[in-house]
Amino acid sequence: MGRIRFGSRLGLRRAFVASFLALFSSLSAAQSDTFRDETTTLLVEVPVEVTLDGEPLRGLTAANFELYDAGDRQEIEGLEVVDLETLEVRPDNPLAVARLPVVARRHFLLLFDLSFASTASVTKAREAAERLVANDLHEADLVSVATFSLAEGAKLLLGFTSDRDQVQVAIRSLGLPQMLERRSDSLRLYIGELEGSLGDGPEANAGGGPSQAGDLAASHFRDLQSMIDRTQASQGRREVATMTRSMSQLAQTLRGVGGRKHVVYFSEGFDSQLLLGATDAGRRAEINRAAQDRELWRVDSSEYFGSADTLNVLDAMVQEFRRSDATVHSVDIGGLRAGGEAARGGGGGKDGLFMIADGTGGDFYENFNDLGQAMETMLERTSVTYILTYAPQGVKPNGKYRKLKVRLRDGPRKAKVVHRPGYFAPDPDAEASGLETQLDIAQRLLDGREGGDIETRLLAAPLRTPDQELGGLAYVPVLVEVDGPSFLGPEGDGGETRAEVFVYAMDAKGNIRDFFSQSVGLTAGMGGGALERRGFKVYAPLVLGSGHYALRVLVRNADTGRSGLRLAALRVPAVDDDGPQLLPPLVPEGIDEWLLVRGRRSDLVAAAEPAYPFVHGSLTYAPAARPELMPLQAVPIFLAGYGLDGLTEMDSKILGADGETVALPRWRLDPRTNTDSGDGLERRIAAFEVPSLPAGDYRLQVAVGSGGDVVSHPVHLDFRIPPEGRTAASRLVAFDSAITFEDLANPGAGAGATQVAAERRRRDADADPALPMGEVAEDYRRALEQLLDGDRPGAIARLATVEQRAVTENPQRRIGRLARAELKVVKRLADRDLEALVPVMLLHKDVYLEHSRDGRPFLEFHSQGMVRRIADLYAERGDSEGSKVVAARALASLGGHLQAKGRTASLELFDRAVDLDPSTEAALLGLAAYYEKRGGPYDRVVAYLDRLVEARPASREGRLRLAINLLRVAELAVTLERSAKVAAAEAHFRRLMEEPGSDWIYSLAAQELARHLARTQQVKPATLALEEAIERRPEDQKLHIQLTYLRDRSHGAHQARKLAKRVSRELATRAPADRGRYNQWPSVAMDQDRRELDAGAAQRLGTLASALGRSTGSPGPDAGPRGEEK
Amino acid sequence: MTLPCWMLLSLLSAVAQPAAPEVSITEPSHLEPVFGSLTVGVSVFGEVDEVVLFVDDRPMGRKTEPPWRFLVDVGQENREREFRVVARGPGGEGVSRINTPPIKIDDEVAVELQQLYVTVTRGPRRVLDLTEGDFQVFDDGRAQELVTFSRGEVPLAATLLIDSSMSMKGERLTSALRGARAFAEGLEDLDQAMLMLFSDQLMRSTEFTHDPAVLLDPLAGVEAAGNTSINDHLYLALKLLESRQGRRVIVLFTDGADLHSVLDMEEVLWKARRSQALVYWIRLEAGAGSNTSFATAWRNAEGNRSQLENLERTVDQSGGRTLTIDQLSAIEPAFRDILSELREQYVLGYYPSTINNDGGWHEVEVRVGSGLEVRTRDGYVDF
Repeated sequence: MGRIRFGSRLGLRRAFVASFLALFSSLSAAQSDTFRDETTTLLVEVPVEVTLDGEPLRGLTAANFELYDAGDRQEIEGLEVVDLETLEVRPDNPLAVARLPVVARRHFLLLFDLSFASTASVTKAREAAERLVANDLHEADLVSVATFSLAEGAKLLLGFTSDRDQVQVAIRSLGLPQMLERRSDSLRLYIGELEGSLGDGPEANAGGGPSQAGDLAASHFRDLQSMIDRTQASQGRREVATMTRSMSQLAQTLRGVGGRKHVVYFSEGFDSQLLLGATDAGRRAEINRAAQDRELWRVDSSEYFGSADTLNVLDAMVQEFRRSDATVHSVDIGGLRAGGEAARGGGGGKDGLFMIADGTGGDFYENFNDLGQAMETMLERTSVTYILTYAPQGVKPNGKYRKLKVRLRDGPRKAKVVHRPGYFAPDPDAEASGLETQLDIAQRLLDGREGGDIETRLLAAPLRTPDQELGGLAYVPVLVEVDGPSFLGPEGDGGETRAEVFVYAMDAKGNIRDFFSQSVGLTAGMGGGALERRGFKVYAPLVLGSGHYALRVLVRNADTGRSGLRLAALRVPAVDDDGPQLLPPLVPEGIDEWLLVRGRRSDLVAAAEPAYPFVHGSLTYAPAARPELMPLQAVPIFLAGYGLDGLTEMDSKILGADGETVALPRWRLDPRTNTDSGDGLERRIAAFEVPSLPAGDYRLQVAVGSGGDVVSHPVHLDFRIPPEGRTAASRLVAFDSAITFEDLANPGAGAGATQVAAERRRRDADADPALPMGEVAEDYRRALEQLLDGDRPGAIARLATVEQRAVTENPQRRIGRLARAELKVVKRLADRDLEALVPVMLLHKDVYLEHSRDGRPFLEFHSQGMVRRIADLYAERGDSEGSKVVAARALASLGGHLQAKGRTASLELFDRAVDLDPSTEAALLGLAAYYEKRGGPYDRVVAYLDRLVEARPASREGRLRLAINLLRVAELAVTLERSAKVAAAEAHFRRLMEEPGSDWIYSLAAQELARHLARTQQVKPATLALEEAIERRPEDQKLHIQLTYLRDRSHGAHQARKLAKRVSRELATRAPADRGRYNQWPSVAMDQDRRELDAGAAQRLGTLASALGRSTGSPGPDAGPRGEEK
Repeated sequence: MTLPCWMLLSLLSAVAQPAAPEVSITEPSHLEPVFGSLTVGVSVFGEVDEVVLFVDDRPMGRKTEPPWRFLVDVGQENREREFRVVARGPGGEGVSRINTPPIKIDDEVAVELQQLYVTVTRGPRRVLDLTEGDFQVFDDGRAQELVTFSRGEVPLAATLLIDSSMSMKGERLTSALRGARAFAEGLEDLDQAMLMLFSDQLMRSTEFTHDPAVLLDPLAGVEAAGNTSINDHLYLALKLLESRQGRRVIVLFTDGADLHSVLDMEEVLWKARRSQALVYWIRLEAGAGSNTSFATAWRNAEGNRSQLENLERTVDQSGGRTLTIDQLSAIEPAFRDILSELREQYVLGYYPSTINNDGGWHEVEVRVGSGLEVRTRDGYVDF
């Protein structure tokens, strides 16, 4: 059952807020799915302070409280205690404070009155406030800064933040934009840095000399105050009314902020006569005399009695603060003023300030130059907060105010209970202002309880970058993974929506060290349905110095208000740290599984931003932040990091939801280190086997080491095993056969790191007496000779058998050895005559099919790898267009086979083929078809097909696919583009129909043209196209069915019946439908390539014979590399 | 002497043997073009054992006791029709026939009498003892007066649409065909059915017949092959049923989803809404991990999901239902269950109080007593 947690007003408006999940996050993950229903219960949280003689009372339990909601006794469901005295804040543990419930944190709003105060007083108030924040508030406290002026009203400069640096900036600038180097933060948690010397603090200014900032501020304040005319009492009343109304609005805005708010109001106050009437006895006597003398023009009743209107609005303001659970602590900054300045308001300002403070339950401070000392009692009193949680029944969603009462049971009689006086019931129809929304989002972001109704995961990888590029800071890409279905929610109507993603990195003190926010417009069906199917990933770049951080990620659906929060600890090593550093395990998912959003930062110089790091060779992937994995699945992983060379040991374990070790995974590791990407990042390819664990959430923890010692900080990857009966949602990228794995045994629990010694294992494998390299090479050579004898099927079978025999006992280990042995022969052949490689390459392709058919996955990988290596060798050494074309075709052909099996490895082969020969038809078709079959993105499909049709205008299949996909893309295009695309598509279809022949491409061109025309209400041309096509293909069922339907819809029911009868009586067939061919693979282009390749290979058999040292038909005496082995 | 005796014997014999019944068709008129559902009224004099109605030589109804009214569906084809009534009694046969003319346009015509095939259940059991007074019919929210009421005795015109694609290879197809056989063998004299085996093409089909042997003939030696095109063949079946008389029924059996149809399911839904056919879908789940979210070169995942949803909508709106099964042993009982349900349906006829002939959608609701569940089609197109 879902619940609405009271904490923010906006939260209450939403249909379903799943912070409930966070509350129960300690429950097992397997259970968590069961929480997801949409029944909503209101959950109210009431922060309560209990004091005795001004001291907080500790050690109370739920049994000590009685709670009444609108007079009804409630059952207290939960009690949480936050005691600031015992809360430990350590630099290496940023999550200690970060995980506090936001409602339990004290919220201080520093409100500077710029109108009812002198310039000097405001300056002193700023200094007092800075000292208060720096010295007296707790790290867990959240602070906000606002100003009030008659000219601008109440203005929130900084939202409630833990960032003391930003508080300082806000206090010093007090809303002067010209003093700031701004960087836009839509949540107002970060407002910028003070420019240069303007940043001098009170210490710098202690000498009394005016600073540039001071001059600017003074000038600004003078401007604001010049607008006030206090010569007339009526004018003064209007000013007070303006102030109180403005403050009321501020109070209303604070409703959306959870927890107790302490508004520290720095002001000199206003003339209390405006509120209370004349208090001076002489003046009152004077008014009395005037009244008795009937000199009524000299009598102002409101001067005598006080202004009822003004009092009313003041009362209303106090009420608003109380209702918003805000206490105003007024600070008479006249008491802070520098000597010689007179207070405004005839010395009566204190009364007004007192009234406000007293009315809201706050304190009034006068003549305190040390505000911290003055507030000490209040700070101590509020240092212990009890959060009572209950679920009231029958609360109507009408936005009405409901009174609360909390009583202490069995407690000391003099104990004082302080709590909010009530709360507003949810109101689904209420509209939030922009500021309320901002505060609400910021509150959610700063909450310590993860979860929410949007399932959000994150993965952060601190990268070392050269000092000069980012000023010695590390570049930290954060990948935010957002679950699409929970983002869209049950009410998602399939239209357009907007996602807001906020990423903040905060240090242990809560200072914001970097942040990133992105708004993303999303449309149903984006990414070929990836949005609805899986979701989207946002690549958010952060730039951070070394240290420990709490990462906060909030994802919000701007339309529905659904949100999800994720917290994570992040350790960023120094960029000049040469020690080993491991990034989190990177589990590669295909980039098309998700909708990917690359976040950009305008404040970063593009050139300084490192390249997208999640690549391996030509493979670009998006790491899974929390993959779903199946028990016993071999999971491909990139172990990436720095300074890993020589580290051959690893320590890994799988932790359960409770943090206890539940299993030790088995690993396989490719011992080679790949640093090809030029970014200094070492990438090791590995795979770990998921143990047989029940459904649930787990954490894989990995560290590397040497000599029995773990030397890297452990990193981790969270993963989920789905409930039984459901397959894992993650579609991982499979590694290709070029990777040879070494087995890694995982260490026993507590045994420390285990020696894996990959290099040694490889040496052991080479020395394996059961698999002599020479024998393997000899068998390989014989298979090639059989090819020369004209027995290609025999050669295929022989090589397949040889390879199978070679790896039977231990395929994982021996597969690498087999490849090395065969490649030695291949290289020898290449040295003699490069052209000899062509038939060998194709032989391996055929052997791949043999292994594939017989279900030998290791050998499938092996064959793929051999074809690729031979093709690369042939293309590189040949260094001619001709050799590149042949290599490209061979790769595309193999890619086609892989694609037919739905293997994503085909993409790499196609890409490589296109690299070698940009006009490789089968490869371009393959790439296009790959994305087309996955449902998009269709613009990418069109891009590949455009290239193909441009390079090979004769490609009929290319033109057909292009036309079909142009229509798809046109649906999403703007008007002008749409027309052009539609026209191009129609032209392609018509040209295909005009060409001679009546093959499947002709039929599909006719069908798709007719479908398009009919959908655009062009029924007659559609009918004509079909009739024309039926003349050429009278046996075509689909054309008939389509025409039947068109007739049926266009008042030709009788003719339609005749056509239907014809289909059923005359056209039944077992022949496959042409539409099936479009959805299948390989394509016609590939068949053509294969034929040409086979012909080319046959022509080169003589070359192969020469290279082997024999004429065709008889083995040569010196061909065998066996002797070389010896 | 001989003559009088013969005459006497003849006279005696005439007195002892009852006369053949006299029969005449009172409605429809021979001047009236007829389509779709209508009531055929018959007047009978004399002793009768049964009255049988033929339309175009096809038996359409049989009754053994009055009222001599037959509720029939003669299909939508615009043509001349022969109505023949044969009354059989101890005295022999009486025959009456009329021929109704076609109308002179080649277009759809208004269906005035709306016929609802209604299944009523209480929990898992069908309720069979309701009377006309137990039903309330609302057409676009307005209560309607029932003019005909019967139970299950309207003959069937059924199309068995059997997926024979490659995924059905082996025991699946064998089980499906066994189910089709069970259905065919359960047909009664007045029922007719046709069989369509499809993959991504129509592989085999029969004519409509009431002879199980003819119907099942194509099953011999059939082999699964190809992919699946549900939309195209469901449309084809609806179109072929359109001109059939009687209660039109489609039983679709498939284990997959549409992959290669040239028609969208939305287009089939258009057709289904204009048909009075009941569509039943026996849906063989592919087992654990059955994937309903998939993309093909023709449609993305969203498109395929939409096809499936529209198929479900088509079934629901027709008044049929989806029988989801996950075991092969459940296939044959599913076919039998559908046949049994059809036999136990109530057939309600009414003339809608408002007809606009504007192609608009009329929502239909049938209410019975509390605790009972009613299933019938959601509505019909007013054209």
